[in-house]
Amino acid sequence: MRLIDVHGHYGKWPFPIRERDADGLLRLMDEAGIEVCLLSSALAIVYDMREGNRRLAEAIAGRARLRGYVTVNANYLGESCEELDRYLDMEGFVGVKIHPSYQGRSAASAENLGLMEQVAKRGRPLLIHTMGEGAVRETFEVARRFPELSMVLGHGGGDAWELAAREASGVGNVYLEFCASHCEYGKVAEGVRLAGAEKVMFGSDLDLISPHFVKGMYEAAGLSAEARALVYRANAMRLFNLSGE
Amino acid sequence: MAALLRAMQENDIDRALTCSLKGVLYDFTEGNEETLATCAGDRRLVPVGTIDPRRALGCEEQVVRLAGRGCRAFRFFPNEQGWPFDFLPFLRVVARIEEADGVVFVPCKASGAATELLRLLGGRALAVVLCEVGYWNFAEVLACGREAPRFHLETHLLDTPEALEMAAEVYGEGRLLLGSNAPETTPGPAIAMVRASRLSEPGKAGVLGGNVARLLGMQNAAD
Repeated sequence: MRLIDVHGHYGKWPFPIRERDADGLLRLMDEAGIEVCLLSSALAIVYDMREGNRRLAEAIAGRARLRGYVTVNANYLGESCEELDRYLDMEGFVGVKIHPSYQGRSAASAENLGLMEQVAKRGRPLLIHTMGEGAVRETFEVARRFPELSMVLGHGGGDAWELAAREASGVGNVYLEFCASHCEYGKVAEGVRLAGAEKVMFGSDLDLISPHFVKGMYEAAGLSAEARALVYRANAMRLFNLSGE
Repeated sequence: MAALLRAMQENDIDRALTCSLKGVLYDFTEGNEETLATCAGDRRLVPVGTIDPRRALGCEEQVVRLAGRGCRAFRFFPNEQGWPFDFLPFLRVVARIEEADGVVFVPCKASGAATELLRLLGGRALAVVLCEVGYWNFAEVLACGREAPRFHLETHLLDTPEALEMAAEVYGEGRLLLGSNAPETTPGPAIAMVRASRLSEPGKAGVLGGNVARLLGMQNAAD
């Protein structure tokens, strides 16, 4: 089955990871059996939102297997709205990304709530980096406040994944993906059981993390064929309105 | 134990280096006895001794005792026990392990740890296995590998694209050892990384078992 990866990146890392251009990412995806990857710009997350989004737009243009998240930053509400308006109608962009940790504004901070209101108005899903119990609780607070905003919790809450999975089962607009370096035994299997297979997606964090590694974590879950079809592909296709092969 | 054996079975793992948590968190003599007894009853489990150097009493004797009973692997847990590598009681134990032709397994997750281990242990004539290395300190571990020919790398957190290939360029395929941290974490991702890598086929077999078998003088994992 060809996978849809809802958590990828475009850009450089301050670690021993060879730089990949768009074609390099496609080769990595081919090796791991990933059909489509949804990317956010590493540059936009850690340093320059506008330049990062611009480079991402250039990278995904004309490459249907690479889709984009517009990265926005609660510290710059006006500029973030401009970025949303610049890219969300552009072919290839399918969602919005925020990283509360790097941006120094927690999910339910006043700054982020203002930004979430703007994201929700535009009707596209949000990928939000979510690590730890506090972040999970705040993110669900946001999800309940904006039920029209579909949210994918990047990393599925990290070490608070059980809490996130339990909560997700009862909050219709929240989805999870579980990429991480630390792969607790049984996390994906139990996460799917708690949240429901219709609430979990595949995310790899490429090319910070190898998709082979994260795929190994998902494969170890021993999911049923029905659950695999949802988790690896169908849920993301539906949420992000993707068309497959 | 049931959780470890289940993780091994689910991931087609033939043998696992095994250490009692009791020896880590409570008492290493009792823990090591538990490890030896458990492993003696199950050929899939290879005993790993542990010593808490804070105790001082009986630490060096424990090395001799374990070595005499066929245990060659010694794993240390400074993070759980709260002591630094630059700690004379630890270094004295390591000297006894070197005399016993043992192998030292140490955590190397924090920035600076590899450099410190290179300074403290790099010149010794014993194999040192750096465990829990991840992308955050990989550059440092690669740099140290160039200077310490007896350092080895445990791979379960080497999760970046081509991490194993880069590690092999410095350490050689023969100094990479599969780890899993099971049953706390699942072995599947680390195994998938080896299988998907561009290491040679003999190199992959080495990482998946041959290298540690050679290092510890075990019968090959496939035997």
